[in-house]
Amino acid sequence: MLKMNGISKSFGRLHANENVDLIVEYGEIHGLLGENGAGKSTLMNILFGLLQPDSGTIEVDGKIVKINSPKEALELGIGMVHQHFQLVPTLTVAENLTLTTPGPMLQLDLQKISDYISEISQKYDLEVNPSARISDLSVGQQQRVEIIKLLFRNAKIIVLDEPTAVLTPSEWQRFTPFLKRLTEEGRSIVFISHKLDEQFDASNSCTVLRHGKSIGTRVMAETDKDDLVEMMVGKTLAVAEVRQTIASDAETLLKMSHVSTRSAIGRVGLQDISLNVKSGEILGIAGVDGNGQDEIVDVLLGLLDMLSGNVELRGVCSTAMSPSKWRELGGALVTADRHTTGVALQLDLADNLLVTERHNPELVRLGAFSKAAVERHVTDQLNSFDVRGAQPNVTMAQLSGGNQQKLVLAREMNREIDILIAAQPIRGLDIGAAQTVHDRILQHRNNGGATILISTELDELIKLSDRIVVLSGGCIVGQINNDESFNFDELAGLMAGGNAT
Amino acid sequence: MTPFDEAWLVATIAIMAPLLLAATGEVVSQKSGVLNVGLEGFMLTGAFFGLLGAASLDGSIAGGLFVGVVAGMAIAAIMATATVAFQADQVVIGVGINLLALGVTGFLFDEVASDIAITQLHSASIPFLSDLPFVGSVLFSQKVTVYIVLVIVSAVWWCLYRTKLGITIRGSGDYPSAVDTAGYNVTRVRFFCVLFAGAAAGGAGAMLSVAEVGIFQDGMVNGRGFLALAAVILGRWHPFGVLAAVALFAGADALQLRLQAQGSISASVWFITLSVGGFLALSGIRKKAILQAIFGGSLFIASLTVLLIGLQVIVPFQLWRALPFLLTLIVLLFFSSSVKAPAYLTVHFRRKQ
Amino acid sequence: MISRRHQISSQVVSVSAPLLIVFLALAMGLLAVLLAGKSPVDAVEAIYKGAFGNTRSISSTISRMVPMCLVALGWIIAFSTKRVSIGFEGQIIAGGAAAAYVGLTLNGLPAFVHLPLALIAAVLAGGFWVALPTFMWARRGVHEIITTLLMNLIALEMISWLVRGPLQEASGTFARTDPISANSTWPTIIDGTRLHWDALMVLVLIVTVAYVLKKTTFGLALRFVGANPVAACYQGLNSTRISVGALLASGGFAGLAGSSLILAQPTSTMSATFSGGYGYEGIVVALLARNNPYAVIPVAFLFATLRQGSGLLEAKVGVSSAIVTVIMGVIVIGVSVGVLLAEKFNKQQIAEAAK
Repeated sequence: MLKMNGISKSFGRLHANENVDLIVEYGEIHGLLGENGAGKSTLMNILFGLLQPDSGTIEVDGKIVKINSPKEALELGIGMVHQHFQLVPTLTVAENLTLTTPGPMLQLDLQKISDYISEISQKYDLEVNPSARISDLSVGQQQRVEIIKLLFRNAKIIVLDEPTAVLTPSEWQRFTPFLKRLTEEGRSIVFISHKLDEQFDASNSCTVLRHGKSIGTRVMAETDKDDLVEMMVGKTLAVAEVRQTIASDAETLLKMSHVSTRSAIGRVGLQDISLNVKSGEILGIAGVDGNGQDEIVDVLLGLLDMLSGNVELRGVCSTAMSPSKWRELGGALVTADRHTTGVALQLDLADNLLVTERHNPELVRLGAFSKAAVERHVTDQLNSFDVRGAQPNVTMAQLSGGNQQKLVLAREMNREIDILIAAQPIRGLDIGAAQTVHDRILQHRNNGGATILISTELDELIKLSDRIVVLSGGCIVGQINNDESFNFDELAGLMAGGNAT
Repeated sequence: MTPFDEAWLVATIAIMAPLLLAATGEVVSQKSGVLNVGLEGFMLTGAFFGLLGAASLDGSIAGGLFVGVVAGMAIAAIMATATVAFQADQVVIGVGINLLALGVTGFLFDEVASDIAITQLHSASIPFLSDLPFVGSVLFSQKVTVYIVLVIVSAVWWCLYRTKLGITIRGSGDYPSAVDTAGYNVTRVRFFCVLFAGAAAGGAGAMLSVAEVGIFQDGMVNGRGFLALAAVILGRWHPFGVLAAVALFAGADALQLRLQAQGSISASVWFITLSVGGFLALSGIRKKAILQAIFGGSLFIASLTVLLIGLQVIVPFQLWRALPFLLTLIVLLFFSSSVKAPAYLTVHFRRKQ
Repeated sequence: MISRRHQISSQVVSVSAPLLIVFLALAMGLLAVLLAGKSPVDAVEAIYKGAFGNTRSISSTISRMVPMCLVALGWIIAFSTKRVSIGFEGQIIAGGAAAAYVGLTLNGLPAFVHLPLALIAAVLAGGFWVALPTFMWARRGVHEIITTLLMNLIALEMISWLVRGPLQEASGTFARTDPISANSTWPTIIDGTRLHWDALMVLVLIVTVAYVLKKTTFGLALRFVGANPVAACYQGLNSTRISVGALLASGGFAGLAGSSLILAQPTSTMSATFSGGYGYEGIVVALLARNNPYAVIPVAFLFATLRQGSGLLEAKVGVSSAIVTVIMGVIVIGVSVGVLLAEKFNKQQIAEAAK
């Protein structure tokens, strides 16, 4: 039904797809498996006409086609349900559907569309009311509306991009049979998900991508988790750093006990999170983005209210915490998404470095920054992490991503700190820079500092952490000690959504 | 003697018409995501060129109105090009438009057209219906322009809520990405809506000069453009809500004119403030909104006191003129959670790659 | 990395684009004069004479710059935290009325007390006039564009009432106040001219604001909150509190502008129209100055020249002074679009150079 042959696509030096093959049969649910950044989104954007491949062909129904826009893709019967739904919240389901139907502007046949929606909803037991407003629907229902949109346009190939990110477990249970019923009528589904359990639940076969290449295709009935995990992650070559044994009387610097938070739109609720970090210890938090990492950071900084539980800093219950107090108490934070939470892109490097130094008596006199002291400080900071392309009045946006991250690290780590939260610290950095960062983290550890390392990169976690906890859906699903008993497959299995055995 | 009589209603509806037309046009524009701070300028342009057109066409009212509409569209085209096409800031350009309109009309008025006058439009009388008691004079003996405006308002409602065009427009203001993904050109939709607002406001301005008084004066628009903006907000961006808001403003305006003649405020007015105060206080208590409850309560008590004592309060007419703005502020202050502007109002649409 | 050459050329484009537009707008204005049957040369001469003809007119031009600069500073402060308050006209009215009240009532005070009191009253009144919109933004999330605009319109009605009601002159003939005690007005720098010491105050304020924004920790806090309020939060700044402070301060500046319009003018009474659109022009000045406090001075100078010169334009040449308003409108629209186009051009150049 659908064949993508030898697709390659590069963005500058980044090879998003390298010679990728994908074959989807009629009436099949075909999974696309891979870690973040493996190339799944790029491949699908090419299929959907948002990007053009550098090389390779696409065949639909045996004919080679060129897809130049989402419109053309739809005409060929290829439809995609994006992670961010393309639904207008204030309009009803039926009204949203009319947006995608061709027809004269000055007319509206809401009745016909409403009837169709009711019909489909009945047929597949979807419980979607055509006159319901999108903003009143649950996220799961909204997703079903998106699928109905595609059915209305007679889509034969439906691509689902991480559909379960927004579904509750019970919604997921009803989702799989729905998908299977869709394929009974000859449709094919491409099911993108990094969660192994779901692939085994839903897909007939799946293709694994890693670092832009297609590693292989397996029929689900003929393979097992270990096989897929190995394909997804590859044998790790990371060698754990020489580990200092943590003194048994090392002070517990940070402790979270039974912390729970409320869940909301765009926020995962933490459920009974307990963890602690000792002096000289690196605690790794593993897990795919969006499983509670941001929420843990926010709780520690006092930006998110707890429903229950408490946080202790050095044995003292921390109430009324705030980001400034966190810094005062010796905390440092390297955020996961520096563009949103770390830096101001339109300001210059000096501004971004000095924003946390407003009360530093060495740099500030009578409320104003001393020019000479500031210049020295900024130069020192930039040099300490080898930030390239930097004169102080260059704006942040003009630096490369890697250099931006280095600046943030300089700001956070070049002072006396006790507890470091490092979230995705080497994201976007080249190998040399990443090494520098890791060296600094180890230095911090050697000086008796505690570190919480949040990362999606298994290599990094294995290299640095003393212990690794795995976060999934707001809960800690398992903890592994990074010592002689360490079992890589166990870790990978936990991350792929299973439960600790 | 209550001022809320037949004459008051007739005046209300007459005052409503131009304001309603401008506000309805602005609803369409804001629904698609564009805020026209320059609405006053649109109306002024329509007022001036409409009159000029009417005079050049031998005093033709219809001709004047038509020219006003076209002039409004022309200046709106400047706004649309600058903000929608080039994505300049909507508020800044709006201020510029007001200056431009003020300057151009003022300049041409001084240089070219100081003493143009035509005979203004007279009220029409719909046969049979205008002979009905009360309703006859209020509803069926207005100027033709009033009926035209009511037809336009209904047409706009129908278009926004019963056609695909309307859905596209509403989508452009609430979530343009979905409209773009569906294959429509958000820029084009917004451009069209701004032009429509210009046409409506231009027509409204022309109504003021051509149909109402037959001359042009400096400052004749007199803040109506801003009043229309307030009405759009108060009316919650819905044509019928705006109709109610404009009716409220016009009613207050007509009332103010009557009261200036009468002297002091009659009891019936205080009954209204009493009920408004009571309503605010009760809903404030229910919502646990302290500020609102206190405000409503004070208003209630004050009105009650005035009524019981029989106090003759003289309220400066400026308070009446400020009343629409105060009302809008109060609604925004106490009911902001339910007053939802189109989510992407004043937000330029850029396709994310 | 952007080469030095590209940096310079993009600066050149950024600066010359608005200048070019201003020049074109002026040329267009002169064309209109020509089409109206009058001589453009006479028009230019009239504007020149009106603005710079003698000491008196020069001082008037400079004195017009004062409220423009103050409003522009207020805008710059508020906008550094990305708040878009357009309520300066209303705040001018509130500030001016407060200053007039102090000037009219508290008699018998020595000048060095009376004037500062009037100024303080004006600053507080201006801050008060933006307080409600500020509250509604901070606590209810209502966009300040709408609320400050409404406050402007209310203020216009309020001043109309004040000068016909409680503050009206004793004789009750005209819609204006009694003469304000000379004790509370700004002394002139050069006698017989319209140049008062408030011009010096404005100069000091410009330097202060520029300094605070660029060099102080407070200024950095303001700018960081404006650039990325979420990141500011994570770096320990209270974004809401800082924005509120900026808005209130901007109201204070506008109030001060109002006080200058009352206490530093040749006529000693307050009328209903004293705010004269300065509240909106100040915004335009700030935008054209690209939010740079020092650049405000030349831009305000341009606008003040046009304003002051337009008076003579009508009297001497017989051309409607409305042409100046047209020119200003064209400048606003033209420069806004021009700046965007220049930026686009610059970006393209950089992108091509990177290839």
